[in-house]
Amino acid sequence: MLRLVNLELQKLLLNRASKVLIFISFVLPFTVLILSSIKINFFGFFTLELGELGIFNFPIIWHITTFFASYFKLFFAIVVVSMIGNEYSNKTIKQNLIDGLSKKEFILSKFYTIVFFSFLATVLIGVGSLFIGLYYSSYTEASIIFRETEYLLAYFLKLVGFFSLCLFFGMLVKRSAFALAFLFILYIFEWIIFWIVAQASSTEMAWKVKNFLPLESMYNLIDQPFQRVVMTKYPEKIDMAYDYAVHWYEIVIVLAWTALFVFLSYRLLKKRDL
Amino acid sequence: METILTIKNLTKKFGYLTAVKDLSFTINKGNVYGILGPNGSGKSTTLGIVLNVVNKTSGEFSWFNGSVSTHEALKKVGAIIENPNFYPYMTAYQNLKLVCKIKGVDYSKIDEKLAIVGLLERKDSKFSNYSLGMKQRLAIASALLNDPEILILDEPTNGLDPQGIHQIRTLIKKIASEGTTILLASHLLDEVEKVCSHVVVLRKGEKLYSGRVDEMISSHGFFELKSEQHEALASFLQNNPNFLSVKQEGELITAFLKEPMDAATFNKLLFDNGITLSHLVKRKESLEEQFLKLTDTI
Repeated sequence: MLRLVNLELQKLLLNRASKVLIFISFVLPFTVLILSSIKINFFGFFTLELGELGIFNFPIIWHITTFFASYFKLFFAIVVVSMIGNEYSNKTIKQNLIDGLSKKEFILSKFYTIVFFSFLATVLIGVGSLFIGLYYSSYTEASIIFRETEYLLAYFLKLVGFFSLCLFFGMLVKRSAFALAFLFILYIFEWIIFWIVAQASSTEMAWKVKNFLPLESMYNLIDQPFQRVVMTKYPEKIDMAYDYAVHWYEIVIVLAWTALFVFLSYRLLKKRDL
Repeated sequence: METILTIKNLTKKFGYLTAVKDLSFTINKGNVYGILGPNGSGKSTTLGIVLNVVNKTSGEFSWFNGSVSTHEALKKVGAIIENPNFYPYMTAYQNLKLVCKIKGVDYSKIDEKLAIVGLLERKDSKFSNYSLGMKQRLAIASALLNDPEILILDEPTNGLDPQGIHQIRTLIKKIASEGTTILLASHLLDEVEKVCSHVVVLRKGEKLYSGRVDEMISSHGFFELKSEQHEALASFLQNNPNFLSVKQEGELITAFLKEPMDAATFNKLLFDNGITLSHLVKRKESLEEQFLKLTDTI
């Protein structure tokens, strides 16, 4: 396993484009996190300190940071599709197999790398949130600090799931740009299904169906935190209450998609004549 | 003799097109094999199948008597097919390092093999800056990294300039002389004739001949003759049981031998019969002529 990750890391880190993108996808969310946590003084007119809003309090900080950080996954998604696209355009996939890498190992080396980077991203966000939380949070008891850390797990699974989807699209169309276009098409496609089901039965039913689709199920892992922030400010508004927790069935759906995408990528490569 | 590769009834269909048809042959250790065939005869497809990049439709193949799985076997094989495929943004050294990681070879081999192909000074240049000849030599270095049991080369001189072709051929001969088994696919006949001891001839995916190169050129050769006494010579040859056939083209008479005879004996025989020659050449049919005869589609 280490050999396979090592193999892929060499391919990625010696390539300037992917090196820059990897750097961006890790550093950018981190920088945004740090910047948002410091007090910004707008020329003496007013000071903006997001920490004052209470969003950096434990345990809500886990929810907030993972939700926003997951938007930066798109940068690494480009890396994932291009690491497949490049193998095809340079025909190095052929050479790798001839040199004695099995098709299974080829897919696994990509998948392990995805897991590796997702894990790294999770650790970074975890550590960053912990420090900012410790600085701002009014509660510092361990039981409160580590409550809702399941958002970190959700974040990790969301990344792995999304990148596995990118891996599959990369294998399917062999070209990075088209693979990214496919992501967008899938997004629209999910809404079309939603619309069809909504027409046929009810909106409620349509949501239920859409929750099983790949992109929506990944999004569902971490629900939007805005309502929750408002709720903490105005606890009397009960009609704003919603279910923002990470549920086991949400995790299962994403895990199932991940497994399916990795398996399909393998099947695709196995059936294909290079 | 140790068997390296066995192919049995291998068939590959691309849709309605049959690229390889019921092909069987065996590669033994220590020989230099050539796969000959015109373009599109299934050479590359056959190699693709045994190298794990093309799926077979039916039939079997096994490496090293089937003792290991294909991708494990490939770690003991060195192969380059068609164009050299490397990561353009990596240097030669980094590219070979990656191959070492795949094959599980020690990095110390890299410099050694780069020296063999004469690229040691350029090892830190990016692959994208290499000329085609250098790329091809790097591919050979890469294929040699694991000191392979067998070296598979598919059209190694394709697209190279005469100098490049010469360099690659010298390299192949050198590797062959060190006892490495080689499988060389080519449509360039003199290439195969110069390096190979055995040959498999393919046409439209079917095997036409497989065996030793010198057995393929099985005839005893022929004489090209000219003489002032044209008529006398022609009738003498026609009545001589040593000759298979006699062809006349203007002044030139070509006589094909039925059994071995050297030029001196033949010359003496004619002289004793009162015929003097003005032109005498003994030739063997070239592989090219044999090949064209074999693959003749008419």
